[in-house]
Amino acid sequence: MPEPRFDELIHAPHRLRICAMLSQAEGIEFGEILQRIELSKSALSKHLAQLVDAGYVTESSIVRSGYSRQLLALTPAGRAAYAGHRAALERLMEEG
Amino acid sequence: METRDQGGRPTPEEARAALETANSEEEATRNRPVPVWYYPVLAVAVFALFLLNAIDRPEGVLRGIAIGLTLAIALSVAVLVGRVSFRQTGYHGVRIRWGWALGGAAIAAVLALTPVLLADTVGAWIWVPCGVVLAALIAGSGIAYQRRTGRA
Repeated sequence: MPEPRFDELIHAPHRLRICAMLSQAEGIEFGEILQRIELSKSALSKHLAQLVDAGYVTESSIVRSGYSRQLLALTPAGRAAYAGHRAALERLMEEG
Repeated sequence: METRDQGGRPTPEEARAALETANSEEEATRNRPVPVWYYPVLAVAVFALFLLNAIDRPEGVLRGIAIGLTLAIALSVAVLVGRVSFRQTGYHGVRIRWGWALGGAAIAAVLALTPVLLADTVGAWIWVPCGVVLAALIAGSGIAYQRRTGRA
């Protein structure tokens, strides 16, 4: 059980969704996240940049079906922060 | 909720809503949509395979047809499952719930092995009920999966 640790950066709704979707995969391409989260490219890039700057997410380029694509993945620190944030939310919920 | 970015803890209700959002996104990553026709076609193909085995000791041309059809359907099932399960998508290394996957594989194995072991004793008809049960389980799983992934 991870230690509850509320994370302001992750808690913003769109970033929480991004972390949640990334937590269940080794990586998800930018286009897929964009399609699911329904933000503009620039708005999504901004959220991702914040997560990258915090060391929670890594970006890498891959080629699939002949096209270069941006692959996003949670770092070990990002996974730990997300798990801690989830635990903090569960605790807050139990307190209510 | 975006204002929480600037500080402040969520209320229990907000925490619950945030957790629900997180759970739903996690599930949407784990369970990617599959074509609507996938499970029904798989169920029919598996049932056809069992039905072909229910033909008791076919001989001559019928035997050749039965073997040919069995091989063709088995190959089609393998190709279909492979294409849907391992096709290239924007998702890499999605977590698999092994408990569910292995449980399903174990049930399928039991239903496939039962007629293999019992056909000589009780008769080839045993393939039919086993095929019906397995096809129904595949179709039922498909309906449940489509509902979960919002493609019902």
